Amino acid sequence: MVHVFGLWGRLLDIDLSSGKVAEMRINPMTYRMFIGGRGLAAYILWRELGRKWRDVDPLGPENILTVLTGPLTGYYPGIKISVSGKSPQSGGVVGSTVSSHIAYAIKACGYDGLVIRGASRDPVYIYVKDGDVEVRDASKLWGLGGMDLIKALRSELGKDTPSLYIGPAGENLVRTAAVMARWFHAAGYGGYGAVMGSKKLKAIVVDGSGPLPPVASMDEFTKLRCSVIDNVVGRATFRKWGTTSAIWGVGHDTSSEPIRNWQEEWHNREEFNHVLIEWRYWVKNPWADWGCPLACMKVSKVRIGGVTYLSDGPDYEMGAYLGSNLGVFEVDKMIALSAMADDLGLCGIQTGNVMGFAVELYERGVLTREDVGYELRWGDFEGLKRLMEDITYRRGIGRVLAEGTYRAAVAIARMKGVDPSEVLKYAVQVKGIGIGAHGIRSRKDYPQPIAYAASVQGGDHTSVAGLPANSEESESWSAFLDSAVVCSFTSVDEDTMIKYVNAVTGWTLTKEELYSVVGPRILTLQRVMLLLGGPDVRWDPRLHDENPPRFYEPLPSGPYTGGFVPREEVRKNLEEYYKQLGWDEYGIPTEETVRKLGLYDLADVVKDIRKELGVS
Amino acid sequence: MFCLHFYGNLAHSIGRTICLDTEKCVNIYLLVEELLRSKNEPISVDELLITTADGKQVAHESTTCDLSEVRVMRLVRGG
Ligand code: SF4
Repeated sequence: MVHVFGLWGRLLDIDLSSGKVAEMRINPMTYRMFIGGRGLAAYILWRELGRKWRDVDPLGPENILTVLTGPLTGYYPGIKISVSGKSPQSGGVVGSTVSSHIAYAIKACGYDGLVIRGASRDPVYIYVKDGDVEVRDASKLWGLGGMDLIKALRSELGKDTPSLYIGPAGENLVRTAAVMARWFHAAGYGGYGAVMGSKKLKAIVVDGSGPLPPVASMDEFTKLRCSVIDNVVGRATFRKWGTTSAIWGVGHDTSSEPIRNWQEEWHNREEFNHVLIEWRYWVKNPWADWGCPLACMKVSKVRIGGVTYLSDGPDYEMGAYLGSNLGVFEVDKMIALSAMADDLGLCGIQTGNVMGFAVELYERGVLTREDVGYELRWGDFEGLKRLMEDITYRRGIGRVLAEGTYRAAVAIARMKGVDPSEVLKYAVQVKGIGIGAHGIRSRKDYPQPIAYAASVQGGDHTSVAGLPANSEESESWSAFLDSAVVCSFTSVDEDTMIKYVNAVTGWTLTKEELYSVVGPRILTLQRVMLLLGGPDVRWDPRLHDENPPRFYEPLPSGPYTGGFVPREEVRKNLEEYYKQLGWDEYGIPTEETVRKLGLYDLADVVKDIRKELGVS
Repeated sequence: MFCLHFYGNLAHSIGRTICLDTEKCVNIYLLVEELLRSKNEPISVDELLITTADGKQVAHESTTCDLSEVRVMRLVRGG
């Protein structure tokens, strides 16, 4: 029975502790309120874990991993899947997305997603074939890197089947581990690779052959789909370069690329550019994710010291975080580090962030050779490879760094007997999440001064806060795209996007409703869970709705030398942003707002948060 | 009079609203491109989303005679 057009209204609910598989029904009104994907994940997590949120260990069996599609999955050009749960990085909920054909396959099985709870004692993988679900033994797959795992699954299943999986990093509960797909794709923000590892879940494999649920208006849908494809196909520059060109564009032109742990944000290294990558290393261009006419992906291949490394683009974030942020300006070595991170199942952003942090600490003498066991130097390929492996396998200093930048900073301060602020001042993160590779100091890139400080996903560059709160500059827009579950690179203007959702679902969503109710509802729920946090992290908005100290240091080089963001401006914009979302001056949603948004059971919770912070 | 409303960091660099007296019908994308160049903004028009006041993308052939105002913001955020 169709509950709502474009969706099936049911999820697979799999308990890995008991092996029990059930069906979770989602009623049409819930979809209308939270859309799907990221919004629905926040709703399910609050409903199932809300009252004990603070005590839920993200790496314990009580955490829930959600893998959800949205109403536009399968209908909108391009493909993404939303991965979520209680984040082992922020203690809140991060809607992490990754391009994967599995999204389409899940819908073709007659479900809108998977809710995975409990934990298996032994390694397993979940295999869904249309309506049938099996939890299969994965002991032979445990320990494999991405490339070998995909080969092993192919030989076991007899064909390539869409999958999400973890590498050794996830198995070892590294908090910067990603949920991986198709060799190079990662749902990195949030640290859900470690959540899969904690459940002893190596992979989720889905083979769906059924139809998609019907759409509400086939004529309107067809018309819109054609117009979006026409629009997207016209983006020739993006198709040619993907995001790879930004390693020059963001580093040189907008001066907002992390360089040596954000000590600078500008470079003029002509050897570190996309044209060179195209000439020397691209072996496949373009390459597309399922159903995507934009086809922004590429495949690179390099050979260093007798080892062959395969990577995508690399996309800009990998290029920046595993290149310039580590002082690596040789593109072949940057590609090799990206390939390693992918194969080990690490998020390139979070891992590059913590590695850059470690190298700076070493440079400053905070970490010593005795602490690390070898030298850490900018651009030292062999040393950086070793450090990445040490993080993955939690060896030596890697055990500390595997906790991610924020927790590592606190642990190193304890180790050294200094005040945490002495180490945290080099940590370029917000609320446990390393900042994406787009700085705010030059003001020439897209993130506004409050982009990360106010984001409900911390340093996530794909979900930045911005003013005005009723425009595409706002985090509501990202929440909408992540909940409809589309690739932001193929998204178009808000008018068309909203019409598209309505054509598929039969809803009557308006722009006003999106920005004043639906977007703020998702953000408010995520905000409350972030402020609750726990068990090992608590965020006080007066202290933690803040940029990393480094962002208040003036830019030392490039065309925007001296650029920085004044703290007073950040405070002023934060207050304005809170006001526009119906939150109080501390950024705590008001009781009136949560009621207005239909989040009635949050009324007491926000009252308690205010009381605890002494601001009631 | 033709007005451009800038959003986000573009508003910080260029100003929230710029209104121009355009005697001839000028292609809106070319106008924006020229404006960005004159302000030394390191962004190309391909990276922008130009919409009408109610959020519809402006057609590539539209001119300042077809519309009286547009909103200009970044299309690609991230990557
Ligand atoms: S635009 Fe690029 S990242 Fe997005 S779905 Fe298409 S190929 Fe994948």
